[in-house]
Amino acid sequence: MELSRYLKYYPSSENPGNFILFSTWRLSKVEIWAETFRAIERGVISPENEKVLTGLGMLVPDREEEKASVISLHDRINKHSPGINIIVVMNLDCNFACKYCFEGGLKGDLYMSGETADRLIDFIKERFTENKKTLLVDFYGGEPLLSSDLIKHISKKLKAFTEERGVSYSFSLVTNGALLNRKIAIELAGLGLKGVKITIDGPAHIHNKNRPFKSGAPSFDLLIKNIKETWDIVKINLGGNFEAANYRDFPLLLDYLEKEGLTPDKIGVIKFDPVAKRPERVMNPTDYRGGCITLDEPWLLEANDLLREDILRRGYKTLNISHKLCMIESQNSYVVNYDGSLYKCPGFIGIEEYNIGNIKDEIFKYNDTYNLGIWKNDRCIDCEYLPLCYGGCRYMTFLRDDNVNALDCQKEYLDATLETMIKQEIKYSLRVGK
Amino acid sequence: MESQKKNPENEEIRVFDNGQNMDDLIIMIAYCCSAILIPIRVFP
Repeated sequence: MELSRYLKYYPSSENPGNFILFSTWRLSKVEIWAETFRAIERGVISPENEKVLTGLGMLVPDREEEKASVISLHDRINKHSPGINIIVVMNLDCNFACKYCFEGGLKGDLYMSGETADRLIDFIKERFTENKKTLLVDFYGGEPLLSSDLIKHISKKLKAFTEERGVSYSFSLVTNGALLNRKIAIELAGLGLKGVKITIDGPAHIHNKNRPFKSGAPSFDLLIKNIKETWDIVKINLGGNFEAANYRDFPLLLDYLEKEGLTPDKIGVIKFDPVAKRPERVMNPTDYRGGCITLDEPWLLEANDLLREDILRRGYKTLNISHKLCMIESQNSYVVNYDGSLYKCPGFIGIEEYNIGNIKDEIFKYNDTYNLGIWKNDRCIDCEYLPLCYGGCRYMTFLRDDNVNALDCQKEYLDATLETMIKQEIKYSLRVGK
Repeated sequence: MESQKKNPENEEIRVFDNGQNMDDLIIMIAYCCSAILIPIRVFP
């Protein structure tokens, strides 16, 4: 047996002299005596310890075989995936006037038509082959609930279609939350709504400044009211956009949620992200937050650690460390814009060179457009972070380079953050989605 | 994921998280802004 190539170890904070081991492939975590670990590095191990560490994927019979398994993950997912996942941008209109929204004047009367919605339904049916078991649609905007009638129309049709096949249809919304009252939540839940993501930019004094209605009226109190009215109907996940000047105040939102009775059992996942800088020519859906933070601005690391800790310490859930397949690499995932044009990632909506066709016509080959498999090079393949990274986020690369020709290498970021995140997960026994 | 706070049979190694079962691997598709995480069962 050999030590896995996808193994990280860090000094234990609680028990000096011990190590924390983490498998980036299996996602297993242990604490081990230092002398035991050093002996294993020299090839000395008891049968009992060998059994434990082999079971956790930290010792492997063949490192080359393990590497081949990591490299083939995307192919296996694409071959076996039982579902289709579609993001649908219903409109580029909004009832909010967020101060950082670069869409600004570009927004307006841009809505999906009934005809495009019907074609979308056909597009999905054509791809939902006999072996498929789950259909999941994520409705975006703009503000998707400005198109609630069309969401109902699409969902009624897709629900009937999947019920005939004895399989499941569900959908989610990325919404600013202002129109999500109890009545609409009940109606949509009956059609398959399972979860929503609402953005709240910290406590009221920050949120109302960042995310007012178009009229300038504050929106914070209405969102809290709507969450109180709907948490028992759909899973409410919260996002929020922070900046260097205000991230330290974001925990005040968590205090407020608790005070208002929106305790951890009533909220799904909470994750705060920095306001991203975007090139002027990018016009993508509201609230799209791709990738992860970068090291360009060191305060982001501090903000990430602080906010994650504050979320977990209060018992709320956040995203855990996991393998994440970028939807660009998933053959069963598409983004459909309001006009029926197709993309592989919501970050690229409206950018012509990343358009891969139209639901009315055909899907172009997009391997080169999105640089699929960019991580299949010696540097990435030998990297212990490969299972957590797979070349990073194309959208982050695009923001940096104005193209997707290079990697969004996560090594420096993970070197700086993974140890803290692992220790947080151990400390708070993080379990997401359970 | 299964987890156990302590492995009482082995003091040298304390298991916090057994991680993914590779015979039944569940992967999350990175819909970075998605309202829900989408579990993909790789080896049904």
